[in-house]
Amino acid sequence: MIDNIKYTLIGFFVLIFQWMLGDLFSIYDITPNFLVIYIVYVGLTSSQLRAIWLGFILGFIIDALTATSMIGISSLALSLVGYLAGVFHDRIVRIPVIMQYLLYTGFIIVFFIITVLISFQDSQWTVGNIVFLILLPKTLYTLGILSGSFILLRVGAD
Amino acid sequence: MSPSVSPLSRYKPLVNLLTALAVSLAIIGSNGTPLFNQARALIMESAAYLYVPIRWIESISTIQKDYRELQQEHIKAQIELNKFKTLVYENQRLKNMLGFKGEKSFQVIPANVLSDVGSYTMNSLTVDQGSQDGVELLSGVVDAKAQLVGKVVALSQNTALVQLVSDKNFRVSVREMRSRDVGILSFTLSKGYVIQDVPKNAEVIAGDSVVTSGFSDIFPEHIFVGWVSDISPVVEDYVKSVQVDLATDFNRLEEVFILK
Repeated sequence: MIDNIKYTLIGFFVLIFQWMLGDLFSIYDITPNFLVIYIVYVGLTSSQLRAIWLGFILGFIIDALTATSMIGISSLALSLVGYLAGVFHDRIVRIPVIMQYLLYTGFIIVFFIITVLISFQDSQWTVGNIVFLILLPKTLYTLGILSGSFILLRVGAD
Repeated sequence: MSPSVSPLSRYKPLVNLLTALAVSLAIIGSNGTPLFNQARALIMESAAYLYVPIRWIESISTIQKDYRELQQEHIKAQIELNKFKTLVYENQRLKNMLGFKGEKSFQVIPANVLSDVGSYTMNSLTVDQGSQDGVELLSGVVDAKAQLVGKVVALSQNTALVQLVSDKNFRVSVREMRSRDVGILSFTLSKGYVIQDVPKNAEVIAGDSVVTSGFSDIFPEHIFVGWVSDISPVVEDYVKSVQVDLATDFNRLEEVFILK
């Protein structure tokens, strides 16, 4: 119970940080997503169920606060990322470091594929432009921040 | 003997995931319904309280400087206004002589910007005026220089979410001031802000001013949008696209004005 409250409060802190200060980290309109980093962290270090439902709730709130179309897409994507990260809960320390980072990249790509590609389905932008100018830069930027955070928090280390 | 795991607990995470996905899809499907709008308004309203202390500190620190700037602007604007009053009177008199109908009038609601989100996927900002202050859905929003900012797409009692011109889903009917050609302005990844489907014989040149056309209930005409920056070659033999530099500086927006 206490863990639930703790992770939820931290989640809301991350959400407020993303909402109020996310733009400060923007480089050429590419903003990292701190929520996906947090959900991956919860999935790997806490529990799969918590990651799924925290992802759902935080995703819905951030969409309600910022999205101009397709509200609910972030909750869908973050729930899925929470589930995928939770699959490796307790197992992540036994996986080689390179594989760990490939997994993290996969989690982030799954999130951005869902949020970016679906929200752009009705735009006139080509898939190549969306992938190379938005999806990949966002993924790499978020991965960079995730890597730094996880090294500091010793996620995946024995 | 190892304890047996019930099938239900084995599939518990998967069942939870499927439930979360199903609810998410239901939310996506119910976008825009009254119940959904109420839930969204509640979240926006609650989040706006986070900005109260920040706005208070900001306003205290900048109020003196803002006041001086406003005084200067006011004097300049007053001189301009006197000029325009004469022109409006003359224009009205000529229109009356020709039998034109009157123009739509609108009110202006000033609002402070609480937060903004800018990225390729979405561009929006939250302001501290809501339905209680008379703001309505799809009201146009301009900045202090009456330049186009966006439109209201979601409302709570005391806040409103504004979709910016730079959002990928934003479209607005605009008019090129010199040639008087009309087109739809939208944002494209490859060329930036573009007026699509301008007739190939339109006499548009770089530097021309672009304003709203007034062909909608959201924006009155003559709201300044920006300047023509480039004209692409003719596409498909009969239309060309005109690239536009927006006048509004979205990074410096602190106050906006909602048109009612």
